[in-house]
Amino acid sequence: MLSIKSLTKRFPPRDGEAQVVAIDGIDLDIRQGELFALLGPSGCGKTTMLQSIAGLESPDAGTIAIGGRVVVDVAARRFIPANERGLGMVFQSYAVWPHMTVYENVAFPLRHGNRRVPDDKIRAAVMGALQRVRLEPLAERPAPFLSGGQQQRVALARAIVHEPRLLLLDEPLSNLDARLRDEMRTELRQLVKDLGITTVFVTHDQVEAMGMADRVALLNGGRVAQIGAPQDLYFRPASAFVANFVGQANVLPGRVVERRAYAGGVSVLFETAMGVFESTLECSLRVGEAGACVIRPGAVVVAPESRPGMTVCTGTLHRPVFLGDRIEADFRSGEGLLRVSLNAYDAVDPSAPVTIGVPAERCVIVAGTS
Amino acid sequence: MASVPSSLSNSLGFSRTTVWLVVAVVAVLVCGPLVVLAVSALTPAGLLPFEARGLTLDNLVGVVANPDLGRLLANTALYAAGSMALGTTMALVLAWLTERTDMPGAVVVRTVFFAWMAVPPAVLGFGWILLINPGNGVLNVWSRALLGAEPFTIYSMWALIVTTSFSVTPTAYVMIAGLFRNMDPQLEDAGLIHGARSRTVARVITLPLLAPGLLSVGIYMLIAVVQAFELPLIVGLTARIPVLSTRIFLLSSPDAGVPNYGLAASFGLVLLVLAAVLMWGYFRIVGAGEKYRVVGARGFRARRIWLGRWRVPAGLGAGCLLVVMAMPVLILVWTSFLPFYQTPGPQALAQLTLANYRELLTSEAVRRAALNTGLLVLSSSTLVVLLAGLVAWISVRGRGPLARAADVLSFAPAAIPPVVMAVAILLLYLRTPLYGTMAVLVIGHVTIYLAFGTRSLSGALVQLNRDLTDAALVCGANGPTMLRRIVVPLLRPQLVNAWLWVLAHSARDLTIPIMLMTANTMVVSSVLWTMWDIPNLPGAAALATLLVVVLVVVVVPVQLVLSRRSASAP
Repeated sequence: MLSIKSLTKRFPPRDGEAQVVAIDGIDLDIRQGELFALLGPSGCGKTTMLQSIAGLESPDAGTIAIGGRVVVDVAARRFIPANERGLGMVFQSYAVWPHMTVYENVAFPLRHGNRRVPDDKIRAAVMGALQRVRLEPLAERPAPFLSGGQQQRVALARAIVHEPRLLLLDEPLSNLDARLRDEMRTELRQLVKDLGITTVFVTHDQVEAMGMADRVALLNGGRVAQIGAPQDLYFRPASAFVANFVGQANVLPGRVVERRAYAGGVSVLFETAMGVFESTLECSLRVGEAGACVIRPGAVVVAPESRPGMTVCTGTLHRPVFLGDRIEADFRSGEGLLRVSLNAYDAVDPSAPVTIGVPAERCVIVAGTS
Repeated sequence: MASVPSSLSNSLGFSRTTVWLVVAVVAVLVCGPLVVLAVSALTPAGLLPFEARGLTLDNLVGVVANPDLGRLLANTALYAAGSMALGTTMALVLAWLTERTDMPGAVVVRTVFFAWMAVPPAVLGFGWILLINPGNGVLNVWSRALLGAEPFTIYSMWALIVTTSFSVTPTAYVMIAGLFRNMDPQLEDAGLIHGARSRTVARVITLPLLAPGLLSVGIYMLIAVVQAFELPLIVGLTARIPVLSTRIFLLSSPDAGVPNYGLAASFGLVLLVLAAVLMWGYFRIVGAGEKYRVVGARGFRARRIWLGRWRVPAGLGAGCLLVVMAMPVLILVWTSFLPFYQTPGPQALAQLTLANYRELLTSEAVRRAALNTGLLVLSSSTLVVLLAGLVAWISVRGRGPLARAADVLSFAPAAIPPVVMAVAILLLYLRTPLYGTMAVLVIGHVTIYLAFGTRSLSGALVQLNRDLTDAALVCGANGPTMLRRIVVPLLRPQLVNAWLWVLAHSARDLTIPIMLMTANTMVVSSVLWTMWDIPNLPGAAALATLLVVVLVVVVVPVQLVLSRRSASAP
């Protein structure tokens, strides 16, 4: 549906600073009906990416095709302007026009868009869109008299009223307060899934990306760090950066000491300051190569049953923090330290030795330590 | 119960006595002249205010019954509306071109318009007279040679309007460019994304959103032109186009005969009421503008519209406008190097000389005027920034009637036309020892420019997060330390800007210096006026050139540094 090839965008240097490469040759393929997140820290290029798709930014290299129609091809000097791309977009500031009513805002794409709709059809379409975001009663209200949440719904109704091929959302939840955000996350996903519109959204919040998207592209420094389903990013991070950005992670530097066959796959033994961990997940490192072992705090099992593939370790727990649904603590063994997550109902006795285990299928070996 | 430490209960940072003192000073500065103005209007002809036993309505009746009043008001209205419309339109087009399109040379336009503050309106008037006076105006001479016709005359209403609009365009430009910059570009992007063409976006979104702001700029310009004095004096008197401001001047300093202060004060009241009504309208509209405020955007840089094949013509058009605006200054520079005025051409080249400058620099009168000017501009700009800073701080952070009084009092002079204020100050100080000293000029400029200082500094203070100053107090700093260490450093750009603005305007102002002119209070602008009046054209041209050069050298570098710093700030 949306196909992006080797997209590049540089910003000219501003006094004294070096040139900024906002996007550095990114490829993406987004499927019809997919809800896709562009996730990353600030300055990773995700907003430039969205603006390039929207036609608000002109890339320096690469191509963008929406639904088979090429909208940007820098080499062929092709650039379709934003208003001819048939898009819907919700802006970070919502950009609800303050000099119009809710109805006029939502009717804009039908009245002034490039596919004009006959007047008698407009009312039905606008009220339908307002109904979807549950704002029908406010149709005639002037836009300045809306709360933040209502403004967002107006922006959303305006973005879907003309049934665009592609819906773009720029940090859709960042201006809402925490409770409303949880509510809208579910509602927004439900809405775009019902409509079946392919949707791309930008966020810096991993919870937002994981909770809403079918697939996530994690960007870093203008490049793709990893693309995959939320579970892929969480359970099989491709690098220490991904592991740290998506959830908490212990990153233990070390090197591969052995690779051996194991139940149809390969098992890797990885030596760290805490001892040797076994991993059965895919690993590209060869014996002797350095990297890091990524262990999520929740991957750890307390008092494990002894079985093949379970790395067992004995030590003591320190600095327990009670978080309600779980307890987090530092597990110390010799020189090594591991942040672990425990069941909230388990008592933690700081003085008694405790044995923990890390199953091989929960242990990820990555190249590099950052 | 322990008493709350006073420094925390009063986050102003200084005592109530100081607050009272500041408000009292402002009240005397602002109300004193107004009271005298009102009393003068009610004083019988031939007497000074407070000399007469009884009051009379004769003067006011005289104003209303004056057969000229209709013509005066009509002239003033046509002049103000015409200059405002032309100036604001040019500013709107230029602001759109430089802020929203890829027109080449946007930086040049911006820099020249910032520097324009250094060019006194009086100098523009002189320059335009040299350019298009009937007879030997340069443009007329040239066009007579080329076309056999003399298309221009400076002594007409339209010439007055055009020259005035050139002099107000830069101010309107700075204000309108600010409107464009403060408008969230996402509002326009949202229109494009949802399928509208650029032209539709401009018509349905950009213009309606700008409308309240443009209206307030328009009224602001209208007030400025209604109050304008220099160009109507220099161009309008010869053209016999009297407006209210020049009538007031002529009544209080006639070429021949005795001043009629009562009638001058009464016309002053008419102009004051007119300006006050406009000011009231201005604040109504500024208030309405608030309702268009929306959640601000960050991180988006405004995209520029591609002008395509219009790019070069647009740049050329803007360039031509700059050249036309600079012409009066250029002709003065040219004249300043000649023994007597001649149209530019090869025959005049041989006579170029530095004699005018030599004469100026060795003249005792000019040297004294320069010293006086230095004294005037430095003390009025410093006093305005000090007083306006205190008043702004009291009105933004203080509570209660005293704070509101400070606010209203310091804003009031914005509605008082300088020429009216000058008459009032003249009447107030005429019989005091202050009259005939530089002090009365300083008082005049402090009063006139206080409103600008307060407005710009309160604007900056409102943006200053209250927690920043409260944090200093909680950390144990006392009030004065907090002001010195936190508020002043954070507001330094705005303080320097206000100081410079007052400095430049005080140096270029002609109203106060010529209305309060005595042998001891000659400043550069009043010397310039007398030289022009003699007429000593080359001498006046050389002095005007020196004044503009000094102001440009002082104002422009500081402004460039300040604007660059604020652009790179996060």
